[in-house]
Amino acid sequence: MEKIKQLFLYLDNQLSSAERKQFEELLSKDEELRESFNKYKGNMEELKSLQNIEVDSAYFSNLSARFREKYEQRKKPFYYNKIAVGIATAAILFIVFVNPFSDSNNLFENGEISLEELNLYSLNSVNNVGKIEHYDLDDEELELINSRITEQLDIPEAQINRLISINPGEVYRMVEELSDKEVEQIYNDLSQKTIL
Amino acid sequence: MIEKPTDFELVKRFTGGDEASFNEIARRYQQKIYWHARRMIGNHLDADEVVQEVLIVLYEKLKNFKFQSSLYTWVYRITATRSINFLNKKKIKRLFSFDDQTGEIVNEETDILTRLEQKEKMEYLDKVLQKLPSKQREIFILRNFDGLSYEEISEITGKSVGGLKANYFHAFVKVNELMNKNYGKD
Repeated sequence: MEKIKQLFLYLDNQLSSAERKQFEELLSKDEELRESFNKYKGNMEELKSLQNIEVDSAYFSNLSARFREKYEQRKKPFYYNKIAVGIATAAILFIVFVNPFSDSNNLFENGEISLEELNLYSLNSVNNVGKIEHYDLDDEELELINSRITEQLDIPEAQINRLISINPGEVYRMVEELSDKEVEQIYNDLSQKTIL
Repeated sequence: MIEKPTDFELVKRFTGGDEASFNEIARRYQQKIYWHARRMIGNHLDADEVVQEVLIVLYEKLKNFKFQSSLYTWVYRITATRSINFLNKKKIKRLFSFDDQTGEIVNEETDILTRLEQKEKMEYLDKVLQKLPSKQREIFILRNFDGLSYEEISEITGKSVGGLKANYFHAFVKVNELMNKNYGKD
């Protein structure tokens, strides 16, 4: 790895002139290093050659007009954005904090509900299929899951039902309304919980 | 010979109400914006969406631009942020879907690459770049394709030069490993 590092520093122009000279001397003596050097240098040159790609010039000449059209369409009433952002954040945080996709979730602690069942329930919920019985979860199991989610989140069941009734299309639109900071926060939470 | 107006002059004209100056700024930077987004995201349709977003942000925020950095760096900063943001949103959306492909259906016919040979080259590049984690991909693109210095990249990403060098090294090793295995060429 040390040789690769030297090779990288050389190709990336990070070495002083004395260090470059030293590396070139090493290169002239070490056949294996020279072979790697030629291969890596060739790879980087191949990638750089992919920069000169011809494109349809009409795309760039129409870009300004298309952007202005989109800009005009984008103007929406303020209140709509606020509501959408609120619901989107809540819906996504529900998934983050309940974390039904994790093996270590507290919801499984007493072993009464299988991971598979809860996953099916969660998928069903977030996709608003509306056919829970299709996944062979009986009323008792459903009630148990609902009460546990309610306990864990400490929010009313009605609110939970509202959150889980959001369909993917709605969520897609809502995610679009999130600010950069909210996207980053949610993305990081999801990544830490190894959901993504 | 008429000299081209500088970025500073164009921004001043635009803030003074000259809409045409914005079009000139957009023309000046649109290719850089597009190719950065395209390499980050890996397909034309999504890259186009990011380009439109970047232009909207530029249009809205340019009036407040104080030239504390160069316009060039600022445009890159917006493009890099929008590209990462787009990728993150895409991953969040995927969570709400049964089908992993939902939201990722890309019509390969829709592209601005006109020649088959060019499309193949670009597909190969996309395959290799998409194997890198997004932060490594970002530094790799900024350094290798956009030819920016570490100091400029640091200004764009807000990361330390030392951290960027380490990230670029990891990306360099990974890309070479993939290319040495002919990844994406079969």
